[in-house]
Amino acid sequence: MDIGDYLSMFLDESRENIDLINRELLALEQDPKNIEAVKELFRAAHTLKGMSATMGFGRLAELTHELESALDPVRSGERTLREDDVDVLLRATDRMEQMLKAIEEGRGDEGEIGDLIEALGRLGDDEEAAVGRSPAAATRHGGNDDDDDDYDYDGYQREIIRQALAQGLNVYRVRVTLRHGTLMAGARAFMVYQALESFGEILHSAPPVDDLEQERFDRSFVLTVSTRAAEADVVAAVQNITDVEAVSVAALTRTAQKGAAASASGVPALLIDRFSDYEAHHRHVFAEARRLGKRILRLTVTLGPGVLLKGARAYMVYQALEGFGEVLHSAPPMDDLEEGRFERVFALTVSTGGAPEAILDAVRNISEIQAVDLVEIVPDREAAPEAASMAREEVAATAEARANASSANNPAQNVRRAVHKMIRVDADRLEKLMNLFSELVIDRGRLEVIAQGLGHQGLLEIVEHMSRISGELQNLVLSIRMVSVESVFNRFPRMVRDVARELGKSVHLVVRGEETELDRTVVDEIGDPIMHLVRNAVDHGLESEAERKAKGKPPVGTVELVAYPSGNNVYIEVRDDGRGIDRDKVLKKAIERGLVRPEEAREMRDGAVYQLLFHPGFSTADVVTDISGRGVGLDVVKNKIESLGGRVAVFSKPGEGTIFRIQLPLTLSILFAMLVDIGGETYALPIADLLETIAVPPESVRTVHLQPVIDLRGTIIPLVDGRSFFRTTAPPRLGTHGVHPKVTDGKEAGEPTALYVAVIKKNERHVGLVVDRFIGQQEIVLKSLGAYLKRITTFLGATILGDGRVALVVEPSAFFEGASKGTLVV
Amino acid sequence: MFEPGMESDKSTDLKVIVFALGEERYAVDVQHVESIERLTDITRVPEAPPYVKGVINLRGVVTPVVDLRMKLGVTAKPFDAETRILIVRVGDLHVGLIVDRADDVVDLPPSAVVPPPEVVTTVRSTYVEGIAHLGESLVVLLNLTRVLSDEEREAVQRIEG
Repeated sequence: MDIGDYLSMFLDESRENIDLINRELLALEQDPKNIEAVKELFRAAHTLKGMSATMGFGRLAELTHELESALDPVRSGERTLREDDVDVLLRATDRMEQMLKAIEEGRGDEGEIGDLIEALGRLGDDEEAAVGRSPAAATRHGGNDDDDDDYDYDGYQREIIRQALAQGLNVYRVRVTLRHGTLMAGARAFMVYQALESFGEILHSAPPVDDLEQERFDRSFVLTVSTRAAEADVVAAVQNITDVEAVSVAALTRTAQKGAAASASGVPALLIDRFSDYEAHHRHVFAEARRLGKRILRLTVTLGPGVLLKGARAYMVYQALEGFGEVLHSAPPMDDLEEGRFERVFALTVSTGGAPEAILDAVRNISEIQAVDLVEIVPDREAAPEAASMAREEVAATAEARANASSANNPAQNVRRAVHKMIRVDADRLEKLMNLFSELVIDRGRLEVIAQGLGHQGLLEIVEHMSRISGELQNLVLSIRMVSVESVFNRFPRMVRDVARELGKSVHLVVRGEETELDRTVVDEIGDPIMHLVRNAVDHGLESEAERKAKGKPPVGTVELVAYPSGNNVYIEVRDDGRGIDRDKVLKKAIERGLVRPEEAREMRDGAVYQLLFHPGFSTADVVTDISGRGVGLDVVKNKIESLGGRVAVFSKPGEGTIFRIQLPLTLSILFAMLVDIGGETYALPIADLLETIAVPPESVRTVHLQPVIDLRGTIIPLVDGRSFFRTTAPPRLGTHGVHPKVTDGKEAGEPTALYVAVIKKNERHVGLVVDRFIGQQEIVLKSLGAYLKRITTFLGATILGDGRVALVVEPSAFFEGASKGTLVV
Repeated sequence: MFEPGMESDKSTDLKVIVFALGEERYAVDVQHVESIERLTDITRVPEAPPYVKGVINLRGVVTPVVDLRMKLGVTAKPFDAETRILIVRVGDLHVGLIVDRADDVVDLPPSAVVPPPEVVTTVRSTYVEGIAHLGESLVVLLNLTRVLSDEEREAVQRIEG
């Protein structure tokens, strides 16, 4: 993984966290006592803060930190949020989103945050006291005398320290005292700083670095460093610097473990004699490690029942431990362990400077492990005071850290572990996988053709098996690309709230079906069009409160956002219970703009009238508002949706409300199609829109208003002649306007032959496409016609057939669009 | 691309592919040319303009092909064994151009290219980048960006009109 991968992962996850923060803030606004929302909020903010700090986006981290502190008194129940507070918090999340965008565009986390920090600070005014009381300061154990100053870390630094510890790093608080009368104390301090920096990262300096360099300190100063190095090495390095009189080091841990014998942290210490499997030399090895500041931890691991690869699991545990230190002992012996020669339990002893929690976490993350127990081994009773005397003063880095450590087994953490089993995959890689798979599907098609041609039984069986496997593979690949629309829908509660406030309306937003899945590329693009429709619903759809009351409607308007799958499509509807679309008003405006002739207007179906709304430059709003007026928009919505292979339809009832229904393809690239021959050319019709295929005797074709139709079980279905529709060189099978189809027989000069008709159904409308021949159903891979032919609307794209030729894939609604051009009368 | 005076003569040479349309010879910048293909099955696209012959399967990529002769108004001769499809890419446009014959890759020194005189070929002057002397004969250097983007404008007009 390079840094770019981390970055995109960071961006993805941070967006999710910001979404979550937004959502929970709104929940909190609704119900200020919702303590679960506060907790969720905290978790999200916390993760966001930690990640941005790790990625080096200090401003983002700072802003998140402030947000978190502002919420602290809310969490502790000292105060509840007012609406104004929520505004400030939401503004902060907006800013965070902008920062993420800037980061994504390579500008770093730029953007002013001073104003928000100040606003957030004011919001948490009464919070100071809470922080002052925070247990962090109180839990300090004054073991060593050289270090009486308060731990002067702020919340952000504590977080960094906590993270360093969680990664298994050591965090040392190094107090350095220079000799009396040291000249160039600033330079010496700088040398110490540099020496420590060579071990790792300096997290904190007291006094601040500037003061150090300017010699604004009195002989001694304290630096906090995170490092993998052992305490002794750090001490040695600093002691070698000229004029350094004394060095003392305190190792910070997440929990308050006082000395080796303490068990406050949940890591009990047991005497080595309690275990029978250590040998004499282990005692020496352990003592040596402890002298170097390491701790001896014994992990007893229990695998789940029925684990198949016991040896492998044990080895994984071994490896995980090696990451933290040296594995000194194994029970049963290593060989048996690797071969899986043990029941379900084994024990490893490791000497480490890492935090026990980090080790536990690492081991627990390995699959099929049922339980892990951890104890610290001490050589004898005398060792306890010895350990305590090693300046191993331990403090709780933060109150939260303590909470985390003591609840290592709580459900929230289990959830986090489960989440870690998800993998984020670069969309480009998926795209590549998809493309490769498409190639495979095409080759499979070819192979089928060849195998059938040869009629070789063995080959046929293999091909059939391959088809089955590739079918499953295909479902898998497709499902990987599917994501729920939740990520899009999540934006709306916030938006509706803002828009409603701006317009002084009360709106109740109902979101349903957010678990509906769509192809990722579609989900990425669909947000803006839906946003537009939702705004539109709030702004134009819903009446003002007074107006609603006057009509006897409930004063609070409802906007519904609903997603559901159906066939090869997913539908997303934006509904409102507002005034509905005024047909006459739309027509009036359309006539004014010359879009419709007055004499046409009366005859137009409602659906056609509503479609006028999507005409560029059309707007029916009486008052041009800030929200969605200005006459731009719905045409953009339509274009966007159509570019995704979708459609948008409008239904409305005056006084009752309006529905905008977006239809989107479930997936873009592989579909089932019926291949047909039209005038010697092969075309593919998507099965999803194909109602049935029938053979019609010529005499049952009638003509209504110059339009040939058939009666299919009571439904009158207009016919379209494929040969003339696609302008093939072959003569039309059907006579056009007014000509009875039987003339076809005359032209063909033979027996009247049946017409093959593909009945296509789209949005409750039917059409019968007359084809020469049905070739068969087949799975096809939809390919784009390319940018050069992007204006072509009759075809969804093209596909490559088993024989390598290209066949065009018909856009079924093309036949209905023809209706307005007069090719078809329904 | 070109920074006059910055480089040696050799490296400022324009590398072009020379091809024939009817009796005349044309050239396009080799940077735009991805490959030269033999004629293959072309699938007609009913809605496309007449000079778009259709689409081909170019190693799994559906690629539109343009009859360059029809597009430029050069008298077309029937397809024969020498007919080639020049696969070109300009920006996001990926198109095959049908030509009567593909000749050589030639280095043209900048001095060999002169601006097109008013009337020199049958081709619309907007498509012509310049005229180059190549030995005895003249070669028309095409501006592919214009040849292809013009296409789009026409398509738009055709649909809207």
